Amino acid sequence: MPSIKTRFTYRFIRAVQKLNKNRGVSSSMKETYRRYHMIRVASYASMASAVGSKRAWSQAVLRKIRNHTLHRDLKKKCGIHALIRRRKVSENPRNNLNFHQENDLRKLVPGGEDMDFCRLLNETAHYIKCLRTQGLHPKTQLLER
Amino acid sequence: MSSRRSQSTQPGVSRISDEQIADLVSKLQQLIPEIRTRRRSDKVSASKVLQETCNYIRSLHREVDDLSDRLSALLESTDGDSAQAAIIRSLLIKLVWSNWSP
Repeated sequence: MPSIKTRFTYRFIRAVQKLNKNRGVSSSMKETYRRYHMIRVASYASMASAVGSKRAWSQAVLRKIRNHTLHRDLKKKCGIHALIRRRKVSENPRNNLNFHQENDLRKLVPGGEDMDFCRLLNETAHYIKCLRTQGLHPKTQLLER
Repeated sequence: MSSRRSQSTQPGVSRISDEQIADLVSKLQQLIPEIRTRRRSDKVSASKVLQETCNYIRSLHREVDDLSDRLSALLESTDGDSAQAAIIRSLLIKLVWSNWSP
């Protein structure tokens, strides 16, 4: 079974090839931004797809991409889920520790709004390990040339 | 970390122990470069770990943004096809040489 990193790399390569094939001729600001956005989404999508549905955060990313809401969600401040979670949190006095940071963390980890604190910490650890693959190593060294 | 409080018996309240949380927080601590480099004897509060975790995730997000930006600029160049070939070659080489896995 190939590693997550292998699966990510191949998926990302396929996405880049696909994007490059449909490359427009114009280099207007709009087109430039669109291309940047597509590559960014491709990076997150490739990682989430490589991880599959065994993690809540990857499920959340794939769901958002399917619903075309990933980009919007990156900017989303709060919604019904944040409200429900706040109510849950106030019912359990133990969770009032570190409330402010927990709040922030839930917004940063995909799907973080809907999980209990334990799950959140667990998902965060895995998410960080995968983010490091996306951001560092191959691409960094390539573009540092 | 505070001492263990008695478990609540209210329905709907999760029965997570302080030990479980402390364990997960310390695992997280190992992943954050900012904190990991400190001496093991230094105690880091859970609050600090969460805070640094948020900062670290934000910086990783920025890194993905930045690299996506540079990648798209590379592909946009007049010789996008050879840029793409170079990108792919580099990705595959790095994959073969790396031995990292989560």
